[in-house]
Amino acid sequence: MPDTRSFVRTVLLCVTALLAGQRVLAISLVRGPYLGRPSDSAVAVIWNTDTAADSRVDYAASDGVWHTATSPGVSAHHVVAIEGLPSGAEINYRVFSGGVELAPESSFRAPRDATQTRFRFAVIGDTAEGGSVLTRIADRLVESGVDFAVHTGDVVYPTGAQQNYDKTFFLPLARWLLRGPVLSTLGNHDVMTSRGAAYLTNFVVPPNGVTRNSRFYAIRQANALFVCLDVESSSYGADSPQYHWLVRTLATSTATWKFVYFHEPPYSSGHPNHIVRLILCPLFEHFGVDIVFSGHVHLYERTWPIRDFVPTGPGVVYITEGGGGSPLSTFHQEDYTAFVAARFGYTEVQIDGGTLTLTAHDPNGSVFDSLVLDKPQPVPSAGVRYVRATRDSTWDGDEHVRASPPPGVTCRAPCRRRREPGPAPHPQQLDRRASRRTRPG
Amino acid sequence: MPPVGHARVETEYSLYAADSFVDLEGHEQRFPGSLDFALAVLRVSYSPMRNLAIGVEQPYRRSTFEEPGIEASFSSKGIPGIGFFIDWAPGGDKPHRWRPVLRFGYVRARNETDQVLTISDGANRYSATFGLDSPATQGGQGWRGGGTFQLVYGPPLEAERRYLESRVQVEAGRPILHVLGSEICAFGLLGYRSSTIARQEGMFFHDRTSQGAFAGLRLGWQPPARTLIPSLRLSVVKDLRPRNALSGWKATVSLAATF
Repeated sequence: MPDTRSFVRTVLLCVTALLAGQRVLAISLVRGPYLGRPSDSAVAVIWNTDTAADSRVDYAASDGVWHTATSPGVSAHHVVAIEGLPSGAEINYRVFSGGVELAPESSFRAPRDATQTRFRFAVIGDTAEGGSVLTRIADRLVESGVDFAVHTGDVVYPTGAQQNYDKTFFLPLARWLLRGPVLSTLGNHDVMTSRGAAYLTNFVVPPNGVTRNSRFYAIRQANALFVCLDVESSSYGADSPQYHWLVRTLATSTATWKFVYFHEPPYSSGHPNHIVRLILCPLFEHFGVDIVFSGHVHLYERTWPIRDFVPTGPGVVYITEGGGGSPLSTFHQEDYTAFVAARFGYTEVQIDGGTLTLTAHDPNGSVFDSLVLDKPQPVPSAGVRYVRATRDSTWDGDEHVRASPPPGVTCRAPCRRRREPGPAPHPQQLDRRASRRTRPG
Repeated sequence: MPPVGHARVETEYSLYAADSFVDLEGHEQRFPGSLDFALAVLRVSYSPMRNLAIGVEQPYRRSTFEEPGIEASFSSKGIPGIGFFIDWAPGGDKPHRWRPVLRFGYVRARNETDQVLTISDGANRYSATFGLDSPATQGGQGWRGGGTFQLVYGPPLEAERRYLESRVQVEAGRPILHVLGSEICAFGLLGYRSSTIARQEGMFFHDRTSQGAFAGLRLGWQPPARTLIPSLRLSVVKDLRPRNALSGWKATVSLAATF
């Protein structure tokens, strides 16, 4: 009898172990890994598995000592936050669920603290249709070594549904997403399904301390402040929590550089959002925001510095980066436009203390517009002091227009014109100005 | 409508104070300062034959935005366009219970410019307006009313959609005072407007549908008959449940005289 009991016990143990083993072996990666930023100093490693399991990340800095971070419980959507990383260090990491290593070892750049003054980031936007353009942009981002990418919204078409994220966002950008987080803002398409529920699940960003979901948030990186606003699904009027939060955030920031990003551009040669312009732009000017990034219109555009709604000299530069792969928009250049081109691509920004260098790239990496902003130290109260616009390094024949600077704006390098604006248009031509714009996505 | 061989001159001044913009989902974006649109319109019409009048209207607009807290301000002003219209009154000057008038209009808009506040949205418009109002009865003491129904069409501008707007307004009231042969009437009015694109107060806000109701009060002073003293109208209207549209108050003063 003891032998029989022992045999039964052994068989049961084997069956249990076999079932457990099968369960472990069945776990497979269905999304990721990719990265998020739950706070100024933390990184979140995120991935999805086909079945619920535990979450573990092993990571190591240049000293080669491996540490482990986990998240409690089991889930098919895994988010593991890593704190206490050495500022700006290259971090190697590996992800595990159910004891299985799910992806090859990769690396990311740790968040930089306020003592650092040199870093680079990229801006992408309107990636909504994914495709080869986005894949090429991902390759360029990996090659450029930027710390993170800001996304100006409309992450996926047509309605921001979860089932479209893999095909049009996570897969085309996969190579980059392993290495750097995307700090995104909600586009008008992203909020069409359940007010952006999928977006809010997929992206990990810092809490704003005001609302339950981080539809708007701010993050500090080195000597720069990044403020993400939601102009699609949240009120931003003068009596809204977002407006008051924005005022507090900008007023209390000690960052040398201040950037704001949201989806619909207040200044655009496509379709500008006049409501955003009236309500928010005076705040940007008042609190010394340097550059505002937007998308929505599928092109690249850079304005002259704008103050009091006109390009008169010092002020805020508005960049529209909507060339992430969706069909390009047509445009008609406005008076405040310094450069506009209906081209796919991304924007890269390099910060070096008080100098900012912005370059617009096509998906192959070629530069077609650039801007340098110099900011005397210590930090002035507001605005941009000098603007240097440099000429293209390449030219592939796409339509774009570069204009002369307005009075009061210093243009140190030649501001070459690709297409002369010509004499003032006839009133009838201006009457039809809107007709040459395609409606943005 | 002026009698045959006579002219009618009407001046209208309105001030629209927009408190906020309300999007399609009902999210209200309140303006941090004051956003005001002033519009002055001069209309002159002449009746060359019975039941018919032709006229011209000349608007002048001033738009201002001020945010004292952070010293931001902007204003623009100018002529947003010119309009022409033909009035046809099928009932003529017969003493009908209801007096219908049909107006066909065309407004030629001024150039669009992308300033922060534009005085013209750059879109020409054709319009047809059907109006009804009841004359004084029962010795001028009874209730009276009226209404208008307007359709506006703006031709498509190549890549842009055509512009269509419909507006209906009804009003009812009665005299509240008679002095020296003149009378003051008080009316309550209610209306609704809907358009395919959000164009308001000379600005282009969005290319999605726009709609909203409005309600208000109107006081009308009618001078004694057969005098050259102009009649006076004062009205105050509030927007109700706007969607993809401005929300605010509009006060209007108009003077009209027939020569």
